[in-house]
Amino acid sequence: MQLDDQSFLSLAQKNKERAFSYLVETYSGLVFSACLNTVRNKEDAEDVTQEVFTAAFLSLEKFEGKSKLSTWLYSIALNKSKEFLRSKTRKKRFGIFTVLEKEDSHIVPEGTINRDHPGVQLENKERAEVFFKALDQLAENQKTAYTLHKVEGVSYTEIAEIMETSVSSVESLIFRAKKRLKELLSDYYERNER
Amino acid sequence: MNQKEKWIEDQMNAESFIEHVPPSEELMNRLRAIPSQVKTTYDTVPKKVVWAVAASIAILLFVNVISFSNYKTSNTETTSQNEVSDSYFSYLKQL
Repeated sequence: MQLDDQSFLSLAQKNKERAFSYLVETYSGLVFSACLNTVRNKEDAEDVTQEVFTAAFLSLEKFEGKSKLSTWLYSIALNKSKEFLRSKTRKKRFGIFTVLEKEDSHIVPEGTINRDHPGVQLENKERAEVFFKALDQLAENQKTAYTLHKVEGVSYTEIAEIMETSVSSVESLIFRAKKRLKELLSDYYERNER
Repeated sequence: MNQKEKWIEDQMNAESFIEHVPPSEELMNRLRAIPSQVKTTYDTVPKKVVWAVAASIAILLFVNVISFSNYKTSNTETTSQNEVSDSYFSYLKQL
């Protein structure tokens, strides 16, 4: 059963449980994928996905249909994933407080987050590691826009809605992300591959 | 395109090495169970407790008003006593 967003709205008003069930069956893959590509670990992505759907269930009445359902869920997924990464980094930092005192406090220590993306096959692990390391060097909004477009295949218009910005800003973010990634990968190549 | 450029292009082609992973059945079951686990209604405070709190606040305010008015009266009495002693001692000072 495929519902358009308006039919979903009326279903949500009549029967919240059924509307939620539709949401889970239709969008769980999309939400899980978005969480996984941000936290890059299966167990953590599952926990965040559960949080996303709990938040969606609790605020189902607030969905007015101004944006697409997928856009709404992507926004929640991105916020929850970022929140998760922040909290995880904070906890670990507290544990190694004495070491970090001497270092730049905004740097996430190596190994803080266990990143073992299940969508990356063994033969591509090294390649993915290089890519993710470079990706992590980008500014937060560049990384989000690039991941959504390149990995998730989300359109510029939808990214603009998810990130609450204009399409031209998204284009610019992705352009700058590509440029910076090229520079970073070029540096890596110079140092390691030659 | 030289070797380096080709390598960079390959690296940036993320969709070629990051495969889509579907959610596990275990996760789907966790998601389906959300409505039964999440409480959407909140427990209301019993009316008796609300009235008891309101009465306590009213008593507290009443006691404060009484003590403030008593304090004001005693303050006025002290001021008039002070004026008498001041005028007496000011006479002595002049001497």
